[in-house]
Amino acid sequence: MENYKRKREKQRVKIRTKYEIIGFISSGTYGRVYKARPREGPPIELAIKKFKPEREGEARPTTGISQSACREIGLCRELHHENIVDLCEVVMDDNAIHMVMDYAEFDLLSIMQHHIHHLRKPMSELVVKSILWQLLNGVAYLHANFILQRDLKPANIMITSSGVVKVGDMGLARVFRRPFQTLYNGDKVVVTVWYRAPELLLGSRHYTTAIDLWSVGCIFAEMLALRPIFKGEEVKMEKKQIPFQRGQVNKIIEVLGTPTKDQWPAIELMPDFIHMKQFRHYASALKTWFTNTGHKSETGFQLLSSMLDYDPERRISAADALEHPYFKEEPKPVKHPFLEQNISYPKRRLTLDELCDAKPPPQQHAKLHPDSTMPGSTSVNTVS
Amino acid sequence: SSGAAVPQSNSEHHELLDHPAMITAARSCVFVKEVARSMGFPARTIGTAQLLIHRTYIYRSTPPVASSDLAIACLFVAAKMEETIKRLRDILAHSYVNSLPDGARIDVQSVPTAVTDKMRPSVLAGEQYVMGAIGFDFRTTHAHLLYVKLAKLAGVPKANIAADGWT
Repeated sequence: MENYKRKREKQRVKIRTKYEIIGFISSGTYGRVYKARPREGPPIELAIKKFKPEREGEARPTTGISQSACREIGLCRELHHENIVDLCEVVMDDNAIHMVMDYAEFDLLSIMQHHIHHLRKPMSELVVKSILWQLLNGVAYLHANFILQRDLKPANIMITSSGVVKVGDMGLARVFRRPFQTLYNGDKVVVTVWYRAPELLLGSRHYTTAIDLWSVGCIFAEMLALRPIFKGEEVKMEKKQIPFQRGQVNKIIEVLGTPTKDQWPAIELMPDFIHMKQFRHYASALKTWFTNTGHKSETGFQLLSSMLDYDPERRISAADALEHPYFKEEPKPVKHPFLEQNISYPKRRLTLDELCDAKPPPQQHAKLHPDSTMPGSTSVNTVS
Repeated sequence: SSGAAVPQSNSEHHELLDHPAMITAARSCVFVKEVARSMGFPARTIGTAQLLIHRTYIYRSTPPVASSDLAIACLFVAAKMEETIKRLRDILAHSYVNSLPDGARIDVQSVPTAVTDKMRPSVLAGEQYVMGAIGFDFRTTHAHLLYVKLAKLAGVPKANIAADGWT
């Protein structure tokens, strides 16, 4: 028995011996994400998501595996699609769960910020269209498999250096087929407030895949204007009471106009409909908004309006959106927009933290010593 | 005669079913069902918890924690997998009450925090063990659904046999 235990301990995968952690990418409530590459095998780039260890330094966990990790691992293991981030391996080490995933050089948020701060010009229509199409393609795949993403936003949309979209962060995603209780009962608040659909803002207990399409609509709009279309002020939760997101609703009706019963027959049945009375009346200004972005495609406007339809029943589905005339029009969407358009964006900036093995090798250095990316030679750079 | 070819199940030693780990697993399944029932978990979650128990004992039959702790850990994981999550404290309190002898059962609400806090570390260690055993494979098949379908196909009476599959 003791022998067996020793043998198993030997076989246990240690994240640091299997992968070289090149740099720290970002962190969130869930934990931290690192860029890494395997120490053996082909020199590919990977992302490692390290879920927060329960309490740093403690020998034993105190809260158990988080539900978000459980969902993300459970779902990602089953999903394989070119527009969804792929999960390679899950490793338990150092009392934390590590998910080893595909690495994508950019995310949509960083690309849009680069356009605002450095290029100072909008994204080209071909790029917008290609990204939108791939995003819809990924979302349609999720919906066809009865999965709601529930946190679509630019920061969660990964893009590889050639321009392939990978929908990431499935920590809030869940299977919606045959829910035992209403979806509301599981997670009271879903989707980042700027991308939250009106039915969620009005406290709907049941919701559908349409909430993801609203988010996609907001992201589409953001790509056109390079700023969030509905940038509302979030009302913070107080005393565990879920507040009515007054600011967000106001931003939406300023652009889309006050919803009528004609536009959204079920609106009066929404639990928080009572709050709608406090707003002044607005007419729809989406067309003006669209014209102001400088984009001219009429079908593009139609697609945007059908994604931002107040009525979740009428809102376009991801599968239908893929067939929209907008995508049949020139310029047609392509698979690798950055590659074809010869666009390059600055790479992710990596920082180092205590977990990182080596300094990211400077570009010229890598050229001078082509095998510096090969396993084994990396020990030269190690700062331990 | 044909009857002679049928092995006498009661006298024959069954390699798998009589394995000590499987006996523990079977006992754990009963325990988990009782706890889960008292908490109002749906059949789907109970089935998944039992599946996890079996999978764990098949792959790694020597858990570092007591079998009841491992069973609770399985229920806790199943609750997360089936989107019917409950606080670990509540699960611990219910299983504590369930482990008391029939006459001495106290109200779940009155289980002191000190008791559940004491149970927590080994249940969580159990959870890690389960994760290792199943290799983070959260795929499940629900045996009770298949059972009901087969029962329907075979035309067995719904009232007793088929209903047993669900309960």
